[in-house]
Amino acid sequence: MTNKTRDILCSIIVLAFGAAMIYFVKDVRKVIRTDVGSAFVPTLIGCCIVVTGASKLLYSIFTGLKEENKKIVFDQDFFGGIGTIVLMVLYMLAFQPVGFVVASAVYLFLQMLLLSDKTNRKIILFAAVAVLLPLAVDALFVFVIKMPLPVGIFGF
Amino acid sequence: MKKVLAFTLVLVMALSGVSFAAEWPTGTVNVVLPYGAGGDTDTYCRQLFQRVSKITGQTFVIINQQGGSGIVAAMDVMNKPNDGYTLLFNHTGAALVQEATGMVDFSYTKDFENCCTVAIDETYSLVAISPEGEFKQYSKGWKSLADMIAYAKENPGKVRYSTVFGSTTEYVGTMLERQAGVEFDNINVGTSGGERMAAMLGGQVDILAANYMQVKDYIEKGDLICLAVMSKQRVPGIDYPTFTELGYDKVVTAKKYEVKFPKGTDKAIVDKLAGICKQIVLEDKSYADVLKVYFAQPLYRDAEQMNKEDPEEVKELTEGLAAE
Amino acid sequence: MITAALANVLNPVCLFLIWVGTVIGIIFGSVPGLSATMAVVLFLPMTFSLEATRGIALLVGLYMGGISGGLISAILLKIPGTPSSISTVFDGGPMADKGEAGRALGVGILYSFIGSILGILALMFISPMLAKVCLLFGPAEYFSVAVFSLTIIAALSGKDLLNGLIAGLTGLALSMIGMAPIDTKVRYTFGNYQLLNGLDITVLLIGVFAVTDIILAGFGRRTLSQRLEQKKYQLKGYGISLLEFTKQIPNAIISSVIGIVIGILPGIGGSTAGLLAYTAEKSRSKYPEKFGTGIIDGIIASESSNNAVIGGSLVPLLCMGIPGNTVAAVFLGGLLVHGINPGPLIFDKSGVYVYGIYFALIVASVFMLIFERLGLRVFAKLLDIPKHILLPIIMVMCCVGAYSSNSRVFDVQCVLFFALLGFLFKCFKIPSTPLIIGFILGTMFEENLRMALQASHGNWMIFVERPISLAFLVVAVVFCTYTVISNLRGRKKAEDEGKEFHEPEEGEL
Repeated sequence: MTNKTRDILCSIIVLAFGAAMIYFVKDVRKVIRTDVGSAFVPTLIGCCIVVTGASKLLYSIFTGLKEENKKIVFDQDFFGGIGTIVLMVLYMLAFQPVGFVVASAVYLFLQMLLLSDKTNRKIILFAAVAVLLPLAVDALFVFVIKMPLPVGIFGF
Repeated sequence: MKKVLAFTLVLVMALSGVSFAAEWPTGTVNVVLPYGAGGDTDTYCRQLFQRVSKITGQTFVIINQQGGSGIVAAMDVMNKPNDGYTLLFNHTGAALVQEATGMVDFSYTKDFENCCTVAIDETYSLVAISPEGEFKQYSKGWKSLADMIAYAKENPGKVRYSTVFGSTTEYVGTMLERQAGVEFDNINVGTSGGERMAAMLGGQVDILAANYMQVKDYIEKGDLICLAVMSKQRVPGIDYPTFTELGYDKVVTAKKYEVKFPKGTDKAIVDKLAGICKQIVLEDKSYADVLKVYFAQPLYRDAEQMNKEDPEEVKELTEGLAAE
Repeated sequence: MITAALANVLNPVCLFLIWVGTVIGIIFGSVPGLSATMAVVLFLPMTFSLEATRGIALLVGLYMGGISGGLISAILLKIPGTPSSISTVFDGGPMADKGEAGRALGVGILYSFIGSILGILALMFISPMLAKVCLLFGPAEYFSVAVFSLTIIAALSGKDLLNGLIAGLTGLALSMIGMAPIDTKVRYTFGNYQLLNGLDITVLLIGVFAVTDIILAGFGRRTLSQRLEQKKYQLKGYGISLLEFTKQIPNAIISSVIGIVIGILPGIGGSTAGLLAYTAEKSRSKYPEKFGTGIIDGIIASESSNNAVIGGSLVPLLCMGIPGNTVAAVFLGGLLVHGINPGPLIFDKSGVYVYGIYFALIVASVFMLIFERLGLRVFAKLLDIPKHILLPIIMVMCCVGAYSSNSRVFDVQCVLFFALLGFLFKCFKIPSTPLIIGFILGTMFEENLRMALQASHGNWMIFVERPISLAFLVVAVVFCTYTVISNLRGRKKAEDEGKEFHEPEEGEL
């Protein structure tokens, strides 16, 4: 992917977003006689977004001709990145049904494993942190702050 | 595996529902409050449940879920499990008007398990800028409700009334317009009490309906004048005429502070909490003292009374608003 | 009366409560997700049973510590601990990267103190006058202030104005979700009742700042341990020389005044104050290009203004009973329970408590200055924790913070959504700060636009007929044009000289 394609893609997403914004308030009716209505400002902002998106689209098409089209080099670690996102999604999903303590402990451990490399991977330390931290936080919230965190199917 | 898990889950829930109802509460109870911390409703709620906590020995956590005119908090409680560990504390002021105007697609009176009523506040008052006080440049020279009505009759649509769409404020404003045969310029100058007060003092509106507590010192100092109070009878400590006395008997509103459980909560739990609240409301002097600060009074109604009286009030509101 | 108040505050129990409040406040402020507001709400019931001055003193300490504590995570972790310290991240983060974390923290604390004291002095001596200022502002004025504040987006967008605009507009769009102001019409909730109330700023902040960073760390995990080496902590005193201090006096004063004024106006919070002060200082500076690269000017502007808000926000509260922000609303409750009724008669009826509040504020800011500085040693230890352990912990804390803001898992899921949005922004090289600015100002923009038009019966001239409103709009236009022109010029010049145009690092903005 080049700089240019990236910018064009971005502009198209922005355009679609602006259009969607306008579309989804089109049925919102005015209920107070003296008011401009709840659709007014969202429509205004939607229009601004469309205009900005269109400008960016034109800008990236035309400047792209002049400037050299640098290829974006991906030196990124996809396994690490996507892995992190997947772990996070699973963590959020587990937050309520599994309960805070268990979900956090599992998440912490796996995330630490994922972020560490061979030189600094200390499994025992990770496991200790993963177990103790959620317990401490939970205790803090339950006993001191008195605002219980989700308890899951395991009952704690 | 999934089935086994689900089955266990159901079993656990069922067991906890059946066997623990009598011992309720065995853990922390969440009290959802649709208003911000520090307001009158928040204070009553915290004071009440501090005492409930002391009696039951369990923690009652107050969760402030402001916004959306209280609808978010109500829907949140409706969607919580009816195990007795989540309840709603709100007042009838906004809720019943919302129900009457069809602003909400659920019922505050029928879609909850009513527990009890713990206080009543009838101090909603109509005020205007005093012609003699610090803000006299904004005064229209009115000294009484009659002056204001007379002016409004001569100048239709010129008296600016601070309204909030879908709230008690809008309801009483409309009622006064109809009974007095006048038309206000209904404008929204803010939703919170503070914003509306600032707008009043800044001369953006001419009349404002507010809790007496909020305007008390301004009236005492002579910056504002109280035109009339929206209670049925005079409230102790407020020496101003009511609208009913002045001939506008429809301009009446009261906030009753209620405790509600999600629909289907075990009756034993509901009754137990109602019993505890009854004891506090009727016997605890310090609780009454807190209410007194706001000119509110303790009032106890049980679930049966609430089930009967609240829908009646909604009906009354609906009829009042419909009668053009 | 003053001596009685002084005696009330200076007694050991009261001093202890202020100390406890300040320290707990600092901790709440510094943990992303926990905020000053939460700390104050949490301790409110406790103050019911305390004697009035003591109860208030505890709340004062929490408020003071909470607002100031935000700078710690803003600098060390580049995550604003509270919305107020968003603008502290701009220069605090880069300073930490350069190995000047200690200095940034020291300066931040010192100017938090100075801002607080200036705010308190304004509260003590000119509050009745200041309270009148608040009454001069109607919806038209607030709308113009919002428009003016939105122009910050132009100043912070760096090279690519279009990208900044996209981010800012997205922020505005996000603020439209939920029930609309005025007529409570439901918009963009797609049938989900949890969205009725709109999105929470804390959730947005945590997602876009903290969690996006963790995702990026995942993509760059191979270099994670190397980057750690650069950060070293060293600090003597408060990290600022007398000469520098003298040079920064105008900055501190202007920023504090901005903070005080913003504090007085109900409904605008510390986050806006910090951003406005930062922008003001940047455009006033002789070296605006250095802002965002890690200079103390930025931290000073941000921290002195967000702490000056404290004094400012108590002005309308005490003089008129009008709370300017959530914390002030909680304060109001705390006062009322003790029979102190803020309003025009407060000095006559409860003068001793008012002076009590003043003294408690001063004591709390002194405690903050001393104990936050002492605590730095502990906080700086954060930097010693390897990133691959620290980041997952931050993630857990963020989720806890998001959950506890409303006690619902929905907010935790929103955090992830915003993290992904932030990540998308990074991919497209769109800065994320304008998103936050747009979001903060969105409701204020819409609500006041509609209220003003309602009051004027649909006449748009109301915005230019009222002098204060007109002034803000003119300044907004001038400022915007100036920024755009100087931006274009700077780029042209850079092109002529064949140099790369200076672009603030995306990560910082």
